[in-house]
Amino acid sequence: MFGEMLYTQWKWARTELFLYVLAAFLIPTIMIRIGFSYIDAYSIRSVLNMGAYAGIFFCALAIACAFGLAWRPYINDASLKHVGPLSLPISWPRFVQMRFLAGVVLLLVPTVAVWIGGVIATASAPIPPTLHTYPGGIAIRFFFAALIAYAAGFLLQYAGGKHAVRIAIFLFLTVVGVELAGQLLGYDSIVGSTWNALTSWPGPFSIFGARWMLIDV
Amino acid sequence: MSDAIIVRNVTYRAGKEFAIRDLAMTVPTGSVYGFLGPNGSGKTTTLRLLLGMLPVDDGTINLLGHDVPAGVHKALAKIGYVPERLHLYPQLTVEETLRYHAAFYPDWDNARAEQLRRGFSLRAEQHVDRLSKGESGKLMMLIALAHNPDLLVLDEPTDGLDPVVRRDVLAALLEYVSSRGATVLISSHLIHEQERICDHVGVMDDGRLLAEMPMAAFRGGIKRLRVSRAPLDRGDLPFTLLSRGVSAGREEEWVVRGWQPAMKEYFVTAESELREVIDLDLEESFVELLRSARVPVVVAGEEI
Repeated sequence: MFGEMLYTQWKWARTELFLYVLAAFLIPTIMIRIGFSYIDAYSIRSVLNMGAYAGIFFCALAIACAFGLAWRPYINDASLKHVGPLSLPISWPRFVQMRFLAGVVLLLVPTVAVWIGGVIATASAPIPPTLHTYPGGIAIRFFFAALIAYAAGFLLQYAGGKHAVRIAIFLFLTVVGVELAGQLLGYDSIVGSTWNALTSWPGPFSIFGARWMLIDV
Repeated sequence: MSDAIIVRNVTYRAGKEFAIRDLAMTVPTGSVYGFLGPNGSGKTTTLRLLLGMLPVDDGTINLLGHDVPAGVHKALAKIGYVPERLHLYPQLTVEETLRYHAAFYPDWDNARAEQLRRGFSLRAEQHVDRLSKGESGKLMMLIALAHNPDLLVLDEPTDGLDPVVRRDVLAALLEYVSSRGATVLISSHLIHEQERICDHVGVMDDGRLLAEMPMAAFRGGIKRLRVSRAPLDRGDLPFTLLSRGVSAGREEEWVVRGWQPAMKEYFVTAESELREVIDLDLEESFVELLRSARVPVVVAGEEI
């Protein structure tokens, strides 16, 4: 049962997964190759900055990948008014649970690509002997970041149903509104403080605020 | 167990306007039950309530011995459902679609599915989004039949299909029903099709079940009577008067339900003359039943 669910989600997501995999392979390599041609490869600070850029890219890729995988199954079921899932002899919570787990398994595909892409990117660059590369660490971080973003996206989609997009827009507008009101009233950035709370330990999104360094000391 | 579906006092409200009101229906095991009603009468909503897809506001539903919603998933394992619209993922091929459904049904019969696929001339590698309407209908029927269900719930299964495909789909259905003794609940507004295959009938309009009876009783029990010197203001009718209109001169046409030949005596005692009893076909009976539900007949100053 789970195997067929996984296969179905794989078939829906395989084109975009291919693009994520391609991005995970190529972009760090290209960034580092081009970057190293502009910086002093013996300047540790420059090399660290380069590694940080690659880390930011992986972080963004994790979020894109997660939301793509979270929304697609719901949209495909909703386009058929959920009649297919609801007429199957399993409960809706179990169906949703399997949808979630299948998405988690699919997150492993870009995670492996990130690891291999990181290895290739760092192997092709002249890394100073005092620095180290962390493609494995980045891949693990990528997986957990993607998992958290995926869980949040999945929760928003399945709890919000057809109103998920409206809820997301409402949340975004609320954030903008609160920030503007705070600025006008002379408060410190409320959104900034909230963002810091969420993205620093023990906030739920602290992994996004961690050091995403492909090359580090 | 003598009844495959038992519905008692079910009420469901969708928004402010539409509701299923005090629905009570019984589908005997082994019967082919035709669920008739005009578009928008609540047939699809009722089927979704039966299958636990919508929550009832009040009342009880029992499907194959399982209460809904508590035991609906056990019941669904024994039910083949063909919804009104395509419910299959368009990105999958026919073969993948069958594999997907096979994974959920413990009694899925691969050999039977393959036999039906060949019988319906469906190519395994064809994508669902490239199937014609007829092929989609066949695939949905295939999925409904391939796990050997005890109950088939079919929502307009032949609507929009050409006559050849319709015949193929109905032939597969009847072959299965005759070999397995399965129960069928089939919703449709194609009355002549229902007349051919159903042995029980329920008529729905505006969220209410107007009548439920064996097909023979429905077909034979509604008559058009031509009456001379029709009695006025009498409330002691031995049958149900569905409609009453002037035909010519003092002659009236009555449409009645529950007619028996012995009821001719009524007109003798009422000092009027029953000139003719006309049989109605199912479609005429259906239309008269709906008309009477929408425009009540007034006898002796009271609606009947």
